[in-house]
Amino acid sequence: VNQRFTFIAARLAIGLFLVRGYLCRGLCAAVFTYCWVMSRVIAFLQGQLLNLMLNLGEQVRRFRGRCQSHRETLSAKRSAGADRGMRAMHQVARSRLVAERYGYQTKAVVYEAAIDMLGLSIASLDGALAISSSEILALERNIQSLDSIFSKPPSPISGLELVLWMVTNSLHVNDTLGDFREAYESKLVKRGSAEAVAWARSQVYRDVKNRLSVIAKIFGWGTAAFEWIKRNVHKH
Amino acid sequence: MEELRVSSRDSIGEFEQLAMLAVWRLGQNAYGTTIKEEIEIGAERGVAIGALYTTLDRLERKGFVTSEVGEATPERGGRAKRFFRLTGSGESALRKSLKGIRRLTVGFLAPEEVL
Repeated sequence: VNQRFTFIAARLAIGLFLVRGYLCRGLCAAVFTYCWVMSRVIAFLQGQLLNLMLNLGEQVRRFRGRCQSHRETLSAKRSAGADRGMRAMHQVARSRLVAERYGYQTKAVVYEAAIDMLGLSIASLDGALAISSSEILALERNIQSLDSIFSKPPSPISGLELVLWMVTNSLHVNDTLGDFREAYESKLVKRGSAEAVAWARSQVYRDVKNRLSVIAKIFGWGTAAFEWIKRNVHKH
Repeated sequence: MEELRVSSRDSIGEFEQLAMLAVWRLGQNAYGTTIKEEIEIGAERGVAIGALYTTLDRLERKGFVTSEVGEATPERGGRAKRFFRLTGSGESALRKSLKGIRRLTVGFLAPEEVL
């Protein structure tokens, strides 16, 4: 059962590795969907915020007018020598206006927070777009280089080129495959087919080994981090 | 005595030194294949192409080398070459790093062993 499980797991891993281009495409589609949804959300939030701000602006303008008329009435009554009852009424009106001012201040803080939220949404959209554009570039490079392998007539190193394509970082996959092909062609002319293929095999072996050592290093860090978390979680 | 301390971002590893020296020696003709051969012959060690490009990318990010894409050629399967060049800061960082090593190797290596 264990052997069968290992066999299925290995096949699954290899299959996933081979369809990494499709996975990458799926990731891009997900990022694009996220961007589309976020752009709609941002547009909606912007509209709402604009309406609220316009309403608030109108309310504040009216409030200022009321404050101004209150001030004018108060100074007119003062100069005319208003009685105690009238002064008390103005005091009440003033208190109401002050309470209204606090209300507007609170609303302003809420709108400020909403603007911050909008800024954060736009920043997250920016980040998603940057990731998706770099993923698309990487995907394009990968597809181009794969296409360049299959578009040529089969040669003794076609399989090796495919292996090299699999283990090479998409950032410099074209440069790597170009160098590999150039060196092979040069060795083919100078030393003959057998030696050139042997060289190509050793070169690909070296690159695969190098890639595996990088993966092993990442696994090593991962295991160390996992152990650290496990130890610390047990402690607390 | 000249200050040799450099930040970790500007420090150069052994393989980086070899790559930079190869780029400097090759001048206008420094690209993947030639750099790889130069290191393999000069340092007598095998080089993985992927590792070389990872190193050159890192050096480019540090500002020690620059690269430009050349013409596509048929012997490369229609792919373009990427030429590398050492920058001024790269040259001075390399000089500083090699000076330190040279000072430390005095008495350890005989002059005929260096060549």
